[in-house]
Amino acid sequence: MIYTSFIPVLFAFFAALASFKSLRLARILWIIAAALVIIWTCHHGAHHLPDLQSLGSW
Amino acid sequence: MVLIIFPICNHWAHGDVMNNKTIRLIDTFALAGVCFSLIEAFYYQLIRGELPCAFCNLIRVAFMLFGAGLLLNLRFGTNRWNYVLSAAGALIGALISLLFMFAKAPPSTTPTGSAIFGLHMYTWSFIIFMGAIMYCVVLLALFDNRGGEAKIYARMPRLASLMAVLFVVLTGGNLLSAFLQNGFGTFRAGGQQHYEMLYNGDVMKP
Repeated sequence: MIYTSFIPVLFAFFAALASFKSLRLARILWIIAAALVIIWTCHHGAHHLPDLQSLGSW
Repeated sequence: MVLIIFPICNHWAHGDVMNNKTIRLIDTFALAGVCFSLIEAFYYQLIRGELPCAFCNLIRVAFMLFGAGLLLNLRFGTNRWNYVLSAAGALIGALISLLFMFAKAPPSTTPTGSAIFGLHMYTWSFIIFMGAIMYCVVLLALFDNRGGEAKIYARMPRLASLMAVLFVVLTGGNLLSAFLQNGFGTFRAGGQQHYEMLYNGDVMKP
């Protein structure tokens, strides 16, 4: 399953742990977590397109 | 809230920059606000039995992203790029919240979760993320960067250490919650009644 639910949270947790040790590693992990949140949002947000289309013109 | 806003307004009125000690104190209170939001989410999940939906879980991670820049500021010294990270996290959270609000705008849809003072949690999170973005912008303006490179503090202040540890614990709690709730599957829609890894008999809406 590509969009396994806990993967963005897993990266966030490791990033939080890395935030005490290495600034560079922490930033990289936080950026990956942010990118994963965006991808996961696009995946789940696609299910709501019919609702959004009912709201009128965009 | 007053502890954050008052010193900011005072320096803004004088057109002055803040020293790093004051900024670190304000960042500590802001990180406490992030922890409070995550604790409040756990209150509704564990005490009120409202399991988070897909967007709710992603909004929680966006709160963590906002807190990430603050945590890095407290640990490695105030740095402009950490505020950029926080602002990016807040922007992502605001956009997810806005998408959630639009998805729940049609009259045919049912709201997800409880309302607090008449507004549902996705609306509150949008308001909070807007404030968080403004927080980053104002703190960037007030930040005095003449101190040189960021440095690792040998010892964080006690309150900052407490908030940092609490933040990491809450992040770990969210990881455990997401795993127990959905297992190795995707995030579910709203209305989930049980944790997938503990009981998988829920009949979910499509």
